[in-house]
Amino acid sequence: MKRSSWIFRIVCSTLGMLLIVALPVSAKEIDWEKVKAMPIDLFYPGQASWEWVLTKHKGAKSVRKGSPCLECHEGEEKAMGDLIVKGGYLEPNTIDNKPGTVKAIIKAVQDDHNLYVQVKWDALGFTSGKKVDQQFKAKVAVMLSSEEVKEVPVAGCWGFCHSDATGMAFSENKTRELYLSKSRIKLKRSGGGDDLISSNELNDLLIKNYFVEYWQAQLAANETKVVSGYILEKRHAHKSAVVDVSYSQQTGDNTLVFVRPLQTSLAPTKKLNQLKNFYMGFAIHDDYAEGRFHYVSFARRMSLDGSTADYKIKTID
Amino acid sequence: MKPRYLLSLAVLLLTLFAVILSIVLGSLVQYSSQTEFCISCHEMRTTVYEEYKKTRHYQNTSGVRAGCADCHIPHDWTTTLWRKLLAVKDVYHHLLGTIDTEEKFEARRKIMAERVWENMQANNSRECRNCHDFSAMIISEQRKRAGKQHNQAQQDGDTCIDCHKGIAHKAVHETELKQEDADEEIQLDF
Repeated sequence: MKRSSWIFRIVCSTLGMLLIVALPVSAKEIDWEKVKAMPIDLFYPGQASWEWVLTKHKGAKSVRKGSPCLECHEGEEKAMGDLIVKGGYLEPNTIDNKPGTVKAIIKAVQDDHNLYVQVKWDALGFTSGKKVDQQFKAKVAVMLSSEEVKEVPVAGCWGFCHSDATGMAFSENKTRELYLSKSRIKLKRSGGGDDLISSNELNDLLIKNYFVEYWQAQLAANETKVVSGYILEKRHAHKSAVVDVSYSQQTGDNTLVFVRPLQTSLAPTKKLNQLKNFYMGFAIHDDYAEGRFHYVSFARRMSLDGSTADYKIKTID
Repeated sequence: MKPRYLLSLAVLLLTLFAVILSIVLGSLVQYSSQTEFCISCHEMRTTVYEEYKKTRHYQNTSGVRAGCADCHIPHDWTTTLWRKLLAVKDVYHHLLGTIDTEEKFEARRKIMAERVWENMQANNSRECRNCHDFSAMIISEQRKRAGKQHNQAQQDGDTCIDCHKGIAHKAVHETELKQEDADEEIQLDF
């Protein structure tokens, strides 16, 4: 083949890839009323960590055998959140009158190009009078993971929230982000500390899809931002968000729609165009909250091909 | 009196004595096994009794009440007598005032609780099983979490007190990660 033909092909491919990354994903008109709803309860987790879940938690034996949280705790989220937020062994620093749960409704559809996820949650109307996050009154995070990260099908977001993370029982006032256990040389009851495996080993984990993708919508008074990234040995941000987001608010109701291309050149990201199912977890920070002072859901199994899941994502035209 | 009659009289008196002793002993055992007797000592009345009154073992939808003796005194005769003998130390400590204030009680609460748990673990939660038994449970009709835990417990050979500490009194068993455990390594199969 002529050299000029090769050059032409390379240039076209590059331009194509740039277009995929640079062009905003269009917010398609979706009749969300017709989409099946999955109600979930997000609850206040206090200092419940991966290490606590595996040891002092009464269901530790079941967790170690791979039983997912929902198998025991489905329907108990409100009771758990209300109990923890009042203070006790899982919460040494209470916030007066902070509610223990947030109700949300999740809907999702896909088409040939994108995954669309709607998160609708009740406004709590609670204010502590403190702005820990000076900028954003609320943040909504979505965790997306695949089978390679074995902690997630079992414990969702607790799979990468450790005893020594910021504000947790063994943080010793250090700032330490979310991380996955295998990024550490060993895991103790106090967490994995800062003893990381080598960068080659971390890279190897990435290649094997051992990471969690996250999206976070950040809501200020007059603007909505979105960031995304991945969690392995810490939380990394993508150079540009892999999702687009739109936000609307009606009385007592907040609605976010995330649009995530099924195929993207951004890396590392989960290859949704190749996955049949994956796991999602949701977290909401309200009242300008930061860090662990949020509400978290148990993980849900989502399917793209109609296979058994907590939620089967339908395909639309 | 002829020896024959003396012997018969002796046997009769001994029998009478044994019967009276049995009645007295039995009555004492029964009397000292009532909740009212236990809480006649203020150490019990103002602490663990008040806590127990807030639990399902005191009041519940089925109207079945478990008293102090149901959980803390064995039901078979010989073990009961032995337990009553050991309880002499409770009288001794009551007279000594070992736990006769709230502060003293709280200082020793954990030790006393641990002693009871050890006992229960050693006898496979014998007193619990007088009323609750896996073979009598309709696990499919229990709450999801309870059913799963009970199935797991049977598979693992666990005993009631392994999970149900603090069910009738203030929970003092460790449920949080402690500093002294911090360095214990966690091994996972996945």
